[in-house]
Amino acid sequence: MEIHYDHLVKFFRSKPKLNEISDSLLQLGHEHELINKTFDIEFTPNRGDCLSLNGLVRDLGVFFETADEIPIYKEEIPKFAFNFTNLAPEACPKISFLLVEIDGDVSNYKDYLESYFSDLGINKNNFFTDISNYVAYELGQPTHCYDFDTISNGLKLEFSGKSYEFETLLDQKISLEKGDLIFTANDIPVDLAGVMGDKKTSCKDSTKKVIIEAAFFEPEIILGKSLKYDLNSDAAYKFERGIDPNLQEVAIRRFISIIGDHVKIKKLELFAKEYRELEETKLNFNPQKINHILGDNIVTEESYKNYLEKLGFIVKDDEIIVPSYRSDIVHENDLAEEIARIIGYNNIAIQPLLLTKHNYPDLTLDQKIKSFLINNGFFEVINSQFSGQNYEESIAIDNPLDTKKTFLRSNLEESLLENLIFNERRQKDSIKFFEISDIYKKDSQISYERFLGIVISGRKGKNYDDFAQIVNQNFLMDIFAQINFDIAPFIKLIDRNNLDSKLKTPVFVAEIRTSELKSAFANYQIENSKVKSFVKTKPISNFPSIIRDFSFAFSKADNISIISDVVSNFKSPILKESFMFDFYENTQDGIIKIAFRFVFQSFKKTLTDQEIEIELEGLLGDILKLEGVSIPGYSNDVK
Amino acid sequence: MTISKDFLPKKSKSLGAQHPISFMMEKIISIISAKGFEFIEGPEIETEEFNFDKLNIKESHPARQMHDTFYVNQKSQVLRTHTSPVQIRAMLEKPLPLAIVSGGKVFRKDDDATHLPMFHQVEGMCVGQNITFAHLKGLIFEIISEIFGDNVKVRFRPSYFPFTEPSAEVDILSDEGKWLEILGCGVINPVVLDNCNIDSSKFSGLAFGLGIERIAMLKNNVNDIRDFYKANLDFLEQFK
Repeated sequence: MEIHYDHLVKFFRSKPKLNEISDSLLQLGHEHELINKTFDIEFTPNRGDCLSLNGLVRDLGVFFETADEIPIYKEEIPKFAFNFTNLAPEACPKISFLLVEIDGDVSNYKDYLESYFSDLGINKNNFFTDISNYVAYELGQPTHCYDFDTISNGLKLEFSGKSYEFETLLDQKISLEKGDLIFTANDIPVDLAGVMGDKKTSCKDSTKKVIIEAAFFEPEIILGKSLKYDLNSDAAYKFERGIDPNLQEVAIRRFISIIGDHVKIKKLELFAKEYRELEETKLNFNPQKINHILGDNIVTEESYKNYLEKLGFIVKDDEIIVPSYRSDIVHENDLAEEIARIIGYNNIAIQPLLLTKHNYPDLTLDQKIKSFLINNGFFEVINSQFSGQNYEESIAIDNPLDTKKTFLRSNLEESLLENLIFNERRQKDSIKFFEISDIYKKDSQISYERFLGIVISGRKGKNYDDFAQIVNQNFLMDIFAQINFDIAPFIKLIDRNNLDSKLKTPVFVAEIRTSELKSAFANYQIENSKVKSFVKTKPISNFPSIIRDFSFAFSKADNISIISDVVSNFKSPILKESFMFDFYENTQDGIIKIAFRFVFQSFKKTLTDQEIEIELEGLLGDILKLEGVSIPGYSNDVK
Repeated sequence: MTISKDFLPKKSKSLGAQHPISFMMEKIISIISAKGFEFIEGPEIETEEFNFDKLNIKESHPARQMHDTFYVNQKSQVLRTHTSPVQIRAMLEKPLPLAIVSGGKVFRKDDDATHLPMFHQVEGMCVGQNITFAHLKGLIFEIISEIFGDNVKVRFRPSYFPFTEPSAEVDILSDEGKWLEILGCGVINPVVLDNCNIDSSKFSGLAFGLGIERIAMLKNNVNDIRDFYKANLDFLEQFK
């Protein structure tokens, strides 16, 4: 909710500065942004009482002394014999209708009304609707204005018995559903109660005679209605969070006062009815309980009483009467929070929580499996539980977010194959992924089990032994043989024809219930026990990598380490990685060959051959300067 | 066997990497476990009773609307919207005093650069006699300093959760001087204790929950939450 500093500050005698109000709001739990002089406040959903200038002033009143009250019309108002039938008193226990007829036109708004629109950048509508919006801003009570002539036969409030086509006063056409709470005139809906009125009965610039409705609706009746019909309704926002059930008459009287500030009132009549008495909330006055909840001798009897009274609570003997606008206060923990807010959460002393230490197992089975696979070169992935695949045992999402993913996945294989294809499209030729996740299935009832899923394909690794080898079934079997587990029955060769990828290396997946691995990991100890720190990641380029392979030939074995050093010291802003991927020695002629792969990638563009050649020129020059080193098939002129 | 192979650089073991979210979750769980909290888990598909009712999230609460929660099984069950149902199970099943920590996947109908329909939470809870808001603060300060370091500035703000009262959100001050929200916590609402057959006039408790992705984004310098779930090797290899 947006509230302007100038509107707020006039209620406080000390005229607190912007930052003082901002700090106080934060202490009270009202998170906000300050844009110029406007507070955009995100009130928590339990604080419907704060959704107005008056409500916020009341809350801030614990820090700043408040000045004058909002002026209201104080004369007696004649009775209005309005033909109103309330068929939903449980949903609307209190309602008032004010009949107003004005004499003359309104040319200019008074400063307080004008500044509401100008300071908050709100568009004006017509005189009565503008006042209605202002009263909601000032007091928190939504009101609705009907053009008298359109509903002069009276209104009925009821839960709709059928669906209706409805055009809102903001020109939105919606289909009201059976069961919605509506006001009807001549059996035609004219207002989606607590949300928005219709077009035909709303006020216009020319309207001189109006009926102003001010009601209290139970929050749960209004909840979700504006969202359901995609209506932007400030009234619904307030009713959903709970308004003061005793505010209707004050709002009506304020409404009259504002009309009277602008134009002569010709006629004034009031219909007000309470269909159900709303009970006061009463709690015990027990300062010790507050100290017990907050954990410190934070209040005395006197200070507790003082804090409560500042917040509008009435303390009488051993009883606290909760003000009608604080529907969120139902037990002593709520009162403790009120006290903590005033004192400041950050000012409550810390106490250590001393718990008995138990000997819980150090490592879970999941942790052992993860450690084992990571030590064998695998990367853990986490995939969404949502899937587009529907199998007999799949669980459907009743209200999916993505219409292409309307089921819970019933295996890990499909997600892992998606991970494989995603990376192969990004020039990755060595894939070793695993995932551990619960998988949910539905038979006669919903059940779940935890699975380990593995996918492998491509090169075994990046070093000179592994680079030329392609992973296969034996690769997985050898790894799991380390823990004496025969994984062969779980391995499946995937048909590459079913994968949308250009690579041809065989793909293997395995999916195992983790419970089946329990005994294999019973005595497993984590090999790499060093404490890992948090990694600061670097951005990832979306441009393709360019690969350059070079083989260096020489006869002196010392050159292996010299060349390796030169390569590892080679720095380039576009070099992504380099590694020795091959080694060959011809024992007959004494020639040694080592091959390096250089992977280049830019964050700004797709690199050209020329840019890479320029980058490599210095490196290759340094290597070719070495005695007896050449690059077979490459121009060695650099030397 | 060639002689020159002896001159080759030593081949280090090719290690993979743990996913940063699973690493962060384990790390936080281990910090909390070390303080005496027992690690337990619960199902991702829950009843409305455990996910909402017993946690004092009334039928009229916005979170229960179809636009916030995924429903399954003809709307009779939900994908848990938080790990808090595990608290309920613990309170119903375990003897007092109790202290548990749990973690795992949770689901909400959100999808943008900072929210995903599936994310991870770690949650802790303890119930006993004379447990207070001051104890909660003490515990949260300890946990935060173990994750973010002793020098991190922490502030508590009043907030609202139906299952805790008083409730707080906790922020840390970033290097850039911005307050960042990292967890929610509070004294367990007596209604929740009563719902779990625990006498709220004799026992009290505290509870707290951390969003793992949010902390991992801060600690790992990740700006888009979706990066965690692309399985991009260029990303995952950075965690070796």
